[in-house]
Amino acid sequence: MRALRQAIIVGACLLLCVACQSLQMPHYDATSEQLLTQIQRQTDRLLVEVEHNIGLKKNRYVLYQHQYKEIFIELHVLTTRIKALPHNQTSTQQVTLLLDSLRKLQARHKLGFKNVAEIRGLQQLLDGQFQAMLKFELSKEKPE
Amino acid sequence: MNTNALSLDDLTNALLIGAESQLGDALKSMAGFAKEQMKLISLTIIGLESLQKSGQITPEQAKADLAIAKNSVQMALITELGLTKLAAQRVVDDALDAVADLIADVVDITL
Repeated sequence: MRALRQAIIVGACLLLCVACQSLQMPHYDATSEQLLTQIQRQTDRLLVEVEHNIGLKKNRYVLYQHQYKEIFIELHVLTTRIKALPHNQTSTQQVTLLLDSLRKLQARHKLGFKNVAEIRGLQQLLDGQFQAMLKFELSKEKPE
Repeated sequence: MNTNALSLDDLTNALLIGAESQLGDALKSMAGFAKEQMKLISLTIIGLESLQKSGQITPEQAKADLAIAKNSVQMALITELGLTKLAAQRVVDDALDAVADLIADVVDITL
């Protein structure tokens, strides 16, 4: 009888520990996924337009200022949401890196683009960053 | 000036070795996402090297592009670590279910 009681106590403690761990899991957030997809779409559109306008005066940074502004507004909304969600440390680190990369893209655009290969290389890098964020978001626990 | 061209395998391996300090043993069990990302990043860096050598981009532009590539490496590592953690937590959840069923069977109570 005593052994059974001990087993129950140990089992209950295990359950409690595990339940606490479980509660610390980040949960999937559909709004974050949608915002991220929206930011990727805006970034893709910008890069496709720049690539299309290579060699023309139309690819100067000043003509894309508005598009960058829109991207940073959406990214700010996403960052705020990600930081507000519990146990979201990995996503917070990811969105901080993405923000830095897009700021660097903006700075790079100010230096000018002269050929398609430059833009494609950057697009590949940014695609990888968006893909990583989406992959992680989709791997999170879905709410029941 | 270094005239040796970077090789894809050497660069990918160098990135993975650099990642070892952050990932430790987790690197050995990587599901492939980070490795795949490192290869893509290596390809981009090789492309940048070629553009700079042929004078199509300035050193300043190449430096800016490399900073974004560095962020991509970090993003791949953070994601791999996060995925590993999620997988570990799922194992714990399964163990929780197993223990709950076992205890409920033995003592006929529901926890």
